[in-house]
Amino acid sequence: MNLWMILFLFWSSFGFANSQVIEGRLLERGTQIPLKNVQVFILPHRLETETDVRGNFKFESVPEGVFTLMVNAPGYQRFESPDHTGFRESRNFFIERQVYAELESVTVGQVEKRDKTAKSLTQDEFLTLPGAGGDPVKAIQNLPGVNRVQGFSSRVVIQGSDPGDTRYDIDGHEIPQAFHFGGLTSVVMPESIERVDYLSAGYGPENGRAMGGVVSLKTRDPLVQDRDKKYFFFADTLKAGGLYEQRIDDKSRFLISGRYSYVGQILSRVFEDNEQLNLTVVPEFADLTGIYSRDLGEAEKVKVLFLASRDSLGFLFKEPLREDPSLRGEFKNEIQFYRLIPQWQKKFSETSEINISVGLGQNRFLAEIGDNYFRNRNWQMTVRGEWQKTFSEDLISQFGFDNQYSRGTVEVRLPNILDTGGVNDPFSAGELQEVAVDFRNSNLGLYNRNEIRDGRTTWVPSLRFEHYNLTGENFILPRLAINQQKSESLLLKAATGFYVQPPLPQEVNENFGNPDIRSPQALHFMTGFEKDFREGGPEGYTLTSSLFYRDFDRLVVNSPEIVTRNGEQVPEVYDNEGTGSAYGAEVLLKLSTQDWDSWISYTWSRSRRTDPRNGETPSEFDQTHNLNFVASRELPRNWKLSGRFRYVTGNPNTPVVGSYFDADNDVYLPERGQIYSERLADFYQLDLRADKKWIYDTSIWSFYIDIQNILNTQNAEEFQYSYDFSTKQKVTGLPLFPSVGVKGEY
Amino acid sequence: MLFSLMQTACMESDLPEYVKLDKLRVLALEVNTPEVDANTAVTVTPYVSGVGATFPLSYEAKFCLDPSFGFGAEPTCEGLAGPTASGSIPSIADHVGAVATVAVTVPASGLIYAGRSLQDQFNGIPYLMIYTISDSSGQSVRAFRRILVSTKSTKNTNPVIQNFLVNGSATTTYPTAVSDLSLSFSSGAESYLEQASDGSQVTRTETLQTTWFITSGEVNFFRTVGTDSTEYTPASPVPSGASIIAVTRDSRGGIDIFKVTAP
Repeated sequence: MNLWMILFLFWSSFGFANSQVIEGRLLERGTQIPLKNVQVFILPHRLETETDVRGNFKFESVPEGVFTLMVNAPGYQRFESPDHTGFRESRNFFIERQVYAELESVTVGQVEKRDKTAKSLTQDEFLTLPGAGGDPVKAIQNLPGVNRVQGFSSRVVIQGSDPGDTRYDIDGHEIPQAFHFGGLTSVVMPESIERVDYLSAGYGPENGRAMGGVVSLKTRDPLVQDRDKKYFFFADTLKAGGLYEQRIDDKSRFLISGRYSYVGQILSRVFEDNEQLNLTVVPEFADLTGIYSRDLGEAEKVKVLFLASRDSLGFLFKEPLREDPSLRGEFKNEIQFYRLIPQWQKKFSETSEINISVGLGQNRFLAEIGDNYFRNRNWQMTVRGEWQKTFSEDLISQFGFDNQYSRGTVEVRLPNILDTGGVNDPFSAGELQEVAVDFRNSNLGLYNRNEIRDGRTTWVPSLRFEHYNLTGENFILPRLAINQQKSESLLLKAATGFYVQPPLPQEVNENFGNPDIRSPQALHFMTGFEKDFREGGPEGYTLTSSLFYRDFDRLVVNSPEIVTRNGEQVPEVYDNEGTGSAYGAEVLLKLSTQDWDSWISYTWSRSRRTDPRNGETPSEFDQTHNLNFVASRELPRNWKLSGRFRYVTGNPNTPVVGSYFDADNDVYLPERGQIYSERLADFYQLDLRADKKWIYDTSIWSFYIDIQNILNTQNAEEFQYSYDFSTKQKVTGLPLFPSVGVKGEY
Repeated sequence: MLFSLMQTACMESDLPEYVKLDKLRVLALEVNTPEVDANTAVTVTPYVSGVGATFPLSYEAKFCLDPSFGFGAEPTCEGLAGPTASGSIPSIADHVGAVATVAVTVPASGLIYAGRSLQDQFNGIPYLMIYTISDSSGQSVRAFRRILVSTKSTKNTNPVIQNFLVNGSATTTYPTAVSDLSLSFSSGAESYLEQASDGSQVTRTETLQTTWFITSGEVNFFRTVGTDSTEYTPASPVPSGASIIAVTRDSRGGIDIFKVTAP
């Protein structure tokens, strides 16, 4: 070995002895989500490396001495950590995002929808929409085609149909209600929901038994990002709760969440000195959601959803109600349901996949009003399954079933009350009926859907079969959708089809209704387009517009006729002589920029009903104009301001032109004028919301204040009449209502 | 619905009060026998408030089989066969009281029970009376009641008010100070049988409910149940001729009425 070699080896070994290994991990500040494939620099040595899928990075030989660690990743604030001389062990570095959405957004960009007629809101969208209180089902009321319902209502009305024409489901399985009482909030923790879909005119064959449409909640998988566990808790004006999710092992994870409302404690203070009523059961609601998910293989997964919901309310009238003396004594209302929904899906090959799910649970409904009551307790099972087969690039077919079974008991002691044109007769004026029945019911659904690609056009012919054992009817329901991707940014669509739904059980009950009633049905048409002006980027406009038309037939309407049934003269109560139509145009224009998100949704529509007694009239939800303008702005230091303005044509109203005094029951009956011949004043409301986040390394704290109806507009929702209907005063909806909330996320 | 009830109960109301008698009203239509066999004669006594009305009053009474207005038809006998009666009422003592009676015989069983189930026949088929009263200034009130025709052996009878109580003591004198008003009954809430669609029979008990009408002063509860009391605050001074009228109903068409007038 010569001298130069010796010197080279000497100096080389000296260099190796003066370098060090630097290891660390990059995590997103607040959410602790690992940042993968992010460049990390060490200065001034100009060393560079990249994080792995777990956010880990490693520099093998960093010269001794002071250095700075620097990260400058897209979407994140520039991060510099100076004055390091070395780490004894791996360290975590928390990099702050430029903008924080609610937790993590589980879908990025446009939701890929199989049913092009569906409108969807992702979690990111519905959690911060002003006026919606972070609720997914309330948020869709900002979308075009959804009618505004009165104040404390818990209904969703779609494109001029009736409230009973909307079906609600979670992961494809029907639930009895979407909202807790008073429409305050939906029955499931919003942060456990990935997105909410609302299906309107022309919806696909996977769903049925609803002439109006479907509101469908899709739960998410726990821990969709790379975290081992996370949780949050919150409290606001009405309720408090929390959510916890954790990875069990590499293949499985779970989530559990719960909420409890203390609105009852507030109301009990409000009613403490009320002269007319005492709260005997403090109003409360609670819900519990649990999700377990496990990967059985690369292409096989099982998921189990558990949902439970409970509402209760009770009060005592100190004296009979002045408007209706039969309403006296104790009032009680409880609604409970739970569902266990195991789901399995497997992809057998690139061309064949299957999913099956079952919904098991119980519904309990109790309403007691003095001596009158309605008690319904039933077990429910819903079974849904689909096999998808890709025959070729141009032909994909789905074959599926969607069945419901229920059994239970119903006990009723209630008067038959006439409700026509939104004006009810008093309780005491109706003929009292008492019945107790055990029932079994089944509704079967089978469907076949086909996607046939012809260049840029996709034809979707489908067929759905339905059987209702309540009426013994069978239906074959063809549907057709046509979608043409005119260009990358322009989609044209059209759909049509037949839709039916079973009558309500009380409508066919021989004591309360007419056992000869048939199922009402509808024919839908829609056509429209979606245009994306963003040219592939995240900023810019999107425009969605469509026309819709619905034709209703065999609607169930009140009948005053006397018929002979089983040799006896009995009131007919209902018949199928009702018809109707609803048509309109919808527009949804969205604008997204770096700092602004806004949209305008507008619906122009007409909704009519016809029956032999009243002729043609507007429907209860004939709202000619329905405008929603929503805007939000990201501000520095994690502030966000948002607002919503709504304008809706006043609802139709039936005038009361006189009255009759019922001398037996000491109450007056209204004499109705032309059904829905008048209108309430137009509705308008401005809501504002401010959100502020404090980002820490391992937590995020949020505070919001949401002021609904900040202009304190006195919108008339209905009229309250004097005892003899000779005078009236308007009943206004929600006054200025501030709510505040705080949330801690870990 | 329950949220709406709460909202209604809590609203501040500028609407006229039910119990304040300030215009032409029918307070009750009392039948001497509220439940009868078919083909039985009954007498109906209207109880009218003429406060604020222009006398003479005119009335018309019509009777018919119930057109099932509980299921959507109007409570009217127009176009339906049945007896009628009419007349004039020149005045009412103290402006509130009983007026000219109307007599009627309910239809025979072949007519009233035709096509009706045994359950309905047992529980009672309503025979409808429409009573319209008007004054010369244009005020008009339409009232109706049902006379039950049934096959049950024990028929409903009217409750009977035994005493008017002021602060628990029986009296016939108008109260002139803040007082608790209540009633006692010599014939109170009756038990009765109700037949279900499967033929089984259930025993139920009436609930007596009293409405307190006043021409002056204030009551805190205008309807009471059974022997419960209501607090009355008279006007100061008490106007001459002021009246308190208690109308007790048994929820099955039975009625009794008590009236006390200030001198």
